[in-house]
Amino acid sequence: MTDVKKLVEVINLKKYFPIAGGLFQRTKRAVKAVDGISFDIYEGETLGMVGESGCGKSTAGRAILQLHKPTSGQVLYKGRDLTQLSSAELRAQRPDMQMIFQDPYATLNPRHSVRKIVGEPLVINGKMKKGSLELKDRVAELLELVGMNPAYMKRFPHEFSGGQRQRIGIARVLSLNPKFIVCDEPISALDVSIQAQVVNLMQDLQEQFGMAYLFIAHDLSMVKHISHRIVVMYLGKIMEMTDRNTLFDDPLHPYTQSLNSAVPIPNPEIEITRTRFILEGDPPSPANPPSGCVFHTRCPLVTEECITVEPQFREITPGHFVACHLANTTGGSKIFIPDSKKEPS
Amino acid sequence: MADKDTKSHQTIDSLLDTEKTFKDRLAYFGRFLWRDRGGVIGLTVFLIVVFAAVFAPLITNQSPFDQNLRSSKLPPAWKEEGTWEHPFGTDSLGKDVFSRVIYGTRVSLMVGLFGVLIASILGLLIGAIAGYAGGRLDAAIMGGVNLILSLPYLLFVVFIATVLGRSLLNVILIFGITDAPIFARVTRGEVLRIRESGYVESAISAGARWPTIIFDHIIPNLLGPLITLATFEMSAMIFYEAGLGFLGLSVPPNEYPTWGNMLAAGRKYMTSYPWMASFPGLAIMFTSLGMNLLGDWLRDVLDPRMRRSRK
Repeated sequence: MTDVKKLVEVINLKKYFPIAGGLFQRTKRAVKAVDGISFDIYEGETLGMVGESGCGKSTAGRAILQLHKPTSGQVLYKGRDLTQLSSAELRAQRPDMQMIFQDPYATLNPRHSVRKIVGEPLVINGKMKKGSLELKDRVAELLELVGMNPAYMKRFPHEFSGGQRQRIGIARVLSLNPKFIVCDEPISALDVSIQAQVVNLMQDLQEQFGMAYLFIAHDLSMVKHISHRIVVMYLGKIMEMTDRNTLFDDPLHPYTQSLNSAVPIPNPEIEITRTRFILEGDPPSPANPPSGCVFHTRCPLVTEECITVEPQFREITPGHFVACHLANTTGGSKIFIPDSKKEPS
Repeated sequence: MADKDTKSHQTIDSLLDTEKTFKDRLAYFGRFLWRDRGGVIGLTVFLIVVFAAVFAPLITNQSPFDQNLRSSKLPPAWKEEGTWEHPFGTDSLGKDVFSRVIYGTRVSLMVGLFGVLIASILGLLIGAIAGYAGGRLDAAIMGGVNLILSLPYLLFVVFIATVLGRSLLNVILIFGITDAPIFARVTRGEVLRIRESGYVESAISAGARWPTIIFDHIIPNLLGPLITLATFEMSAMIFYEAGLGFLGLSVPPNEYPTWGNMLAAGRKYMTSYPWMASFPGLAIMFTSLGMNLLGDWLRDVLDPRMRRSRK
């Protein structure tokens, strides 16, 4: 990945939500939704982001696009720090960075026709005139691009299924030719059969236009399918980051191993004989995260050091980052000894 | 060849989406209206009331104020002693009930229309500010609004009516001000909901400025519920105006004939001369019913989600 240019650099990004309480609405504590994450996104790549519900994936995506103002940290887009831009400068930058939303039922204005929805970003950014023939042609072209009949443009969002709505949302996002798209669980609200269609559409579009995706999801197999590299988040922090194959074949963080273990294998013989490690309990509250390593309350390999000292997010092998004290090249953080079907004692 | 091409594009969907002519649209609108009989009735009643208010002097040549004690307490025209000169009979002072009912629509409509206009503008402003600003300002405004809503409505209205005195303008102002909190509450709730909605976030991420968000997203989604509320409140105001008139706190009877005043005057004669109170009572009932049906129908018409899915 050295010859490819960095498009987005996220440096120690934090987003805390204050919890107001008491009679005078004083800020007492904060929910640490995103607590110091750093990673790069290269041009034309798909970076997958996985984690349990509530681990801060969506907040991270919104904070990167400045839809939530980050508490601290930097987001560099082509070297420009987005967190320092004025609102006018930020608006000028927005067409380059778009977002595909999770809920295709809520993100399309029910009173606007498809034509208006898809054309709106162009009108907002002054690229085309409202009601012009040029705009109509562009909308038709975009609808065709996402595999929809251009005649649908007179219809309203409620007349479409979830998958079709998500396509409309994608057409809207594409209208500005973005370089970087945050996909916030774009398929989790869809049927499985439709999920594949939408993901394939997104891959085709990437091949065609070369934009970078930050693909947020909690479905590991789908992330594996679409991503080049994958980030694993837990409780607002990054646990592990590496390329897709390494993450699934040689995961170093115990949390990643447990996630892998939860993915079903479509081969019943292997599925029956393999040893699985399923996490117990729920993740702790991000308003009151554990000391040391945030994962220590559920980690089977927990040591004294894990409880007191927060592990550094470090590069074990080139391109493979892990935040675990036990991780090293000899497999000290492995829950299961490789090539052994036996449970550890 | 080209012919073949266009034909292959004529799927079922594209047939549905062919350009509609004005005639098609009219026919579609007619069918839509016909499917909702309640709406037709409501619209008809509303139009009749408006017509009666505007063209009152053409409908009846009797003056609503002329007293004639020699022809007092005449029964309606279809009774034995009735005459077609006074179709609904006359009251205890010989005033023509029919013309009073017709002229009474003017006060009712004016109170309803202008009362709702004042209430909705006030409520929209207050509610929108509270919903958009949020925080302490929101808490303060909504505290005041809830305080007003918690007062016994009638007591409040009677108090203001007594202090301000009796005139049409005062009645309109009273209803405009006392009804504003309801509009404020609805507006605030809708603004809060829309402001946090996915499509507003989507517009922001596309680079929209606040005028786009307010005029393209918030207001169109706010208008439906508010127009519906306005029709219901209008019917309620017509109702309450009659109540105030009955209590003798509405418009003075020598200035305008009103249904409430007629009810109050006819109440004493209810057992022996029932027509004096029945006709204004029926007028109030039909107007209210019509407005409520109209409101129901408008709510559906204004929502694109209901246009095709309605049975």
